[in-house]
Order: sequence, then C-alpha cells, then structure tokens
Amino acid sequence: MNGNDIMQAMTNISDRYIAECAEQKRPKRYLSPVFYGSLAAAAVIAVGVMLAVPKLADSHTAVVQTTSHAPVRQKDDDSIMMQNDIAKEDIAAATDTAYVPLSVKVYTAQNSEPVALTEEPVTIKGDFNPLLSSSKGLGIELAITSQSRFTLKTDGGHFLSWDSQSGAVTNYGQTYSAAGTTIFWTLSSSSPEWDTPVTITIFDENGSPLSEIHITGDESTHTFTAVLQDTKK
Amino acid sequence: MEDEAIIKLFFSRSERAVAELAEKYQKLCMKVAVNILGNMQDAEECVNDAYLGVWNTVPPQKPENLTAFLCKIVRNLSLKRCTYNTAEKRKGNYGVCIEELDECLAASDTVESSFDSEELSKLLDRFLEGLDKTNRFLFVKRYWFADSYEALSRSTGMKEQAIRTRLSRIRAGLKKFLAEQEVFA
Repeated sequence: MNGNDIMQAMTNISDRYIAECAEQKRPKRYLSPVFYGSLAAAAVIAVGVMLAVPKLADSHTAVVQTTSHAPVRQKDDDSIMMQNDIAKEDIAAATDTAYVPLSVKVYTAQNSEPVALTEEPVTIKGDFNPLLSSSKGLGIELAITSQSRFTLKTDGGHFLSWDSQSGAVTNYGQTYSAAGTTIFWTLSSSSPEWDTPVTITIFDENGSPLSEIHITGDESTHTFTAVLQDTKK
Repeated sequence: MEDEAIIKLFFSRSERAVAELAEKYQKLCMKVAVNILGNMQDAEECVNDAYLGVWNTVPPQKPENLTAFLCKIVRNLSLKRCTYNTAEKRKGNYGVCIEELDECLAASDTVESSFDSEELSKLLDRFLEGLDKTNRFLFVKRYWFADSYEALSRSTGMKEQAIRTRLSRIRAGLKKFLAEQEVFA
C-alpha cells in the first residue's frame, strides 16, 4: 500500500464531504489569533469608555442625539425609556409608517446574503438543509431598535451557535436569551419534518411578544420561506 | 438549472441533459481533471467522457448528489488517464499529493498491500468526520480535488505556510489513525 492507494480510496469518501467542498464558493476567511486579540482588546476599550464617560460627566444628565430632533436633555433615571420613546417617534416620523420594533434578517450559514423579512413571504434559496450535518443552521440576525435584550422561543428545532474555525457547535435548546443579535436555528434530528411550519417568537426584555417568524422549508428545492409577523398588530 | 431537473432530463433521455450538465458543472469538472492531469486537453477529454458516463449510468442510477456523483466519475477517469500517461513520471499536483500521503504509511514492505480499498474509504470517512470543518475542507480540497497550495490559500485566505503546517499535522493524525485501525500489518 502507498500514497496512491490512499488517493484512490479518497475517491469513494462520502458524497457530503465532496459536495461540502465543491459547493463552498466562498469559504469564510481565516483570521489569525492576532486579529481576534485585537478585536477583543478593542471591545474591552469600548466597554471601558462606555462605563467611564457617565462617571466623568459634570451633571446627571444625558444628551440624546436623534435624527430629526435637536439634542434633548433629560434625567438619567428615565433616560433609556425616553431615548426609546424619542427613537420610536423619530422612526415613525421619518418613515411615516407605524413603528416597527425590530427588523429581522435571515440567511443560510453557508452562502446566502441576509434577507430582510417582511410580512410578505420571502423565499430564500440556499444550501441550508437541516437534514445535513454540514448545514449548521439558519442564521437569524436581529436589528432591535429599542431593546437591549431579547428572547427567542421556538416551537420546533433549537437554537445554536457555531464557531466557523473550530466547527464547535453550542446547543441552546428552544429558548435563547441574550444581548447578541445573531443566532442560528435548525431543526433537531428528532424532528426532521422540514415542511412542517415552525414559529419562532421574539420577546422583548419584559417578556412581551414582539414578532413571530414563520419558517417553512422545501427539501426538494433547497429553499425555505420565512415571514415576519408583528404580534402587536 | 436544478440538479433534480437535470436528472429528470437524463431519465427522459433528452439531448439537453448533457448540455445542461456541462453548463452547470464544466468549470468544476475541469478543475478536478486539470488538478490531477496538469493538461487541458486530457482534462477536456476526461470531462467529456464523464458526461458520457453519466448519460450511460443515469438511468438506471439516480444520484442523490449529482455534484459528488459527477465529480467522482471525473476523478476516476482522470486518475486512470494519469496512470496511463505518466507511468513512472508524475505530473501536476496529483503526484505531489501521493508523495505527501506516502508519509501516512509505514515503509511499503511493512504495509499490508491487500487492504481493501472500500474499507480504506470507510476509514477515511471516519477520519474526516473527526476533523473540524476547516481542516476537513483543506484535506479534501488537497487530496480529493488535488488543489494546489496557492489555490487553497486563495480560497481560504490563509497563508500557504500555515496550510502546509496544518496539512502536515492532519497527515500525522491520519497516520496515527490508520495505525490504530490496524491498517498496517
């Protein structure tokens, strides 16, 4: 036996490993540990500055800069609530539509660009197939305009995060609560019915439902359809 | 066109089937063949033979994964052509890949030569399953697709030396794995 025998045997490895490489058009760029170190350092400095600035201020007031109003001075105690209220008004005024508490984008972890969800069904084509172990999950990207934290609950599958470098996957179960804005979701191996609609509900920090994401997949066409429904309407 | 639709064309024996297959997979197939053969003309012949192979085998076969199915045929044909063309003289990345994988085995006289190729493929599957995604990507790209280090560097953004180091460690891991599985006599 020699290296040639191994090369010959490589021909018949599992199809999924071949497809994984053949279909991966743009692998995630490898970033060195130095980059991550720099990023972590920058984050620590940013947090430090955020914590230090209020303490250095002369008065117990905060300045809120809005897009369409002049800066407004207000008391610290209710600054968050006030900021949120003003932000809501500004967004409503700027768009001349009802206030939307958050925007949601979804994408497949492997190769599709994030797509903003609306109340019209959006069909997205991607390599995401919950039945394949190479598909880590459906990415859900939240841009929350008023909430610092949120909770996601799903009636099917589970939430997970994964490290693209090491491939390590963390399973968060059916409830995910954090201040982060990106999380992955996938069906569990015990419930692989991809064509059964799944509802993911987004709750604000007070536990009130904000919106629901309804997802339905079509295994044969490798597509999924997602809809965002505002539960407050 | 979706793979499913292309397969349907093959099943209906439509002449469009091969054209659609070529349109979708020509670039990928040529890459696999050129990496192994290092020769455009031979690669084109192998890829065309592979299309004919798909025409002859589908139906009755219905590939679950058309990409992998086609690439395997291209690879097999390219390996055969490579052996025929070069005999002793090795060309392209393929020859270098073999030399690298030789490291994974003990001296040839101590290695069981009749080890079943199919069984070895299954062991390789198990070994690949244990690798993280990046390492598996590098290993399969290098030793299945016979990509050059330069191409791997372009597609991953990693430095060539870093890729060489990683692959060297993976090969060492493979050697250990094969020894544990008693592939060596």
